Amino acid sequence: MIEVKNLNKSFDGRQVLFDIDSTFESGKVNMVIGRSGSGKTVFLKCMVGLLTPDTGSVLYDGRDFTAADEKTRMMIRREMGKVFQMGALFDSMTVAENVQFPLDLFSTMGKGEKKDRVEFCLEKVNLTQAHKLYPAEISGGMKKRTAIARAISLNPKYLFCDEPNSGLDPETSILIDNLVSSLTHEFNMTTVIISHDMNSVFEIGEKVMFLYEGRKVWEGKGREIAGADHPALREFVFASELMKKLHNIK
Amino acid sequence: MNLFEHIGLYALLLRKTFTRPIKFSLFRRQLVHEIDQIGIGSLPLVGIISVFMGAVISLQFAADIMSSQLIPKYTVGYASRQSIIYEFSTTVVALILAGKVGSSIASELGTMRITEQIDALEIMGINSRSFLILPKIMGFLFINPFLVMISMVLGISGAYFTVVATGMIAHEDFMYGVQMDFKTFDVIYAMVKTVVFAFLISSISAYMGYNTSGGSLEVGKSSTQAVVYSIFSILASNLVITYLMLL
Ligand SMILES: Nc1ncnc2c1ncn2[C@@H]1O[C@H](COP(=O)(O)OP(=O)(O)OP(=O)(O)O)[C@@H](O)[C@H]1O
Ligand SMILES: [Mg+2]
Repeated sequence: MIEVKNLNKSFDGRQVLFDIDSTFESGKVNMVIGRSGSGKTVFLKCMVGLLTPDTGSVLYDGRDFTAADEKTRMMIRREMGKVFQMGALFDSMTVAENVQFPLDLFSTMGKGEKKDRVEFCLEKVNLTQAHKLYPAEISGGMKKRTAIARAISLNPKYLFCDEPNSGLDPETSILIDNLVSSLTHEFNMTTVIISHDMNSVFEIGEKVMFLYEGRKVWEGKGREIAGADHPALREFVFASELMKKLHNIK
Repeated sequence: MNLFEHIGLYALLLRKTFTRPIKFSLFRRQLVHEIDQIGIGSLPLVGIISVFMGAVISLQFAADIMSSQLIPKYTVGYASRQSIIYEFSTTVVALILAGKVGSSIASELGTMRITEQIDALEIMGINSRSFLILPKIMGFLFINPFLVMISMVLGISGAYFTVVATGMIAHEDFMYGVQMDFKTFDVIYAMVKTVVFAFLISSISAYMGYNTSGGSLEVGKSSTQAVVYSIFSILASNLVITYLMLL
């Protein structure tokens, strides 16, 4: 479980996040949605400590991460996996080496075991033909999938994904959604996903938080979102004609 | 940011860099990679520069000495050796490596920064400074003395072939001069400079690259600044070391 308390963040006097409170439960897929520029990425980076919040705290299963010393933070981080918005693959390593990297550093596995684990993770993201290729040689969607494979290679307790399925075709996108969702339930992970994709929100969002101009304005189950009454959220959800039509049929 | 803030942050970076690697087997692999990149990678450049520098230095001395009746011919060998060991193979080679190695370290780390690869390391619970920078500093510290010694040998060879092959100076005169009044301390002085310069180039460039923020434009800026600051620090420390050791 991750608790976020009273989180504020500003850059050079321009406030980006305002008083955000929320709880992300383990074994559940938590989603953060909102328009482009609403502060989703900044929120996630504050949670994992890549940005320092101005005020507020983040607790990982009761352990205060924001106030912890460097060593404790490092230990908590070893329980995290993160998929960056742009992938952030190591470009001096091949796809397989990228996935194996966390294993090399932190696992006690033997060579064969590591290989099997890499194979397993890459199979999970449906990427079996690209082991020996470098990040510069694969497509954007393949990079995303490699990044996901790398994030789950050590069976993290906390999984963060910044738009895991942007840039993926609908089919792969659903595959990734289902993967993340099943891993979350299987291993009782605490998963936080940033997404633009309303389909994902409906399908796997067990808890959804809507950010609007840096403020949390709605929170609830993914399936309840169509009935939400916040005007900005309605605008966001029913931005596409298709969604409007679906709503009217209902 | 002013100079003092930079120096403070630089010291902080170094403190975080010199910590125990997580896995020594991995560290060793990185170290070998850096030694190969920096050492073997710079060898052709250093080699060519050294031969030509030695050739020109000896010609300049020979031209002066030929026109004088009072200075003995072996002085060409002696003077060439001294200037190569004292200054050319240490400082001049360091200035050139500041351009080559410094910019490559800064742009590599800068690119890793802006593409969030450094953040990705941090998220995994890795000390990214130690992981990325330590092998570069250690690798350069280790290999630079060898590069410089090779440069000395090639420089003196260049000098020999230029003035002896053209018949300006006799083989015996040159050899006598080269061996004359040889002090081990001179080589120690050269090696101290070598190690200090290698440390300055790699750590300053790593600092500039690691603290890049923005986009590809800033990566370019960082790598230019890395070269400029490395050069200034080489010139300043050269003065200090020479004052302390030779006087
Ligand atoms: N390092 C930074 N320095 C200054 N301002 C920043 C920085 N990072 C983000 N911001 C600002 O914070 C706001 C929120 O940005 P953020 O990246 O969180 O948006 P987002 O919700 O993730 O958008 P998108 O869906 O497009 O990824 C933006 O107005 C942005 O300009
Ligand atoms: Mg974003």
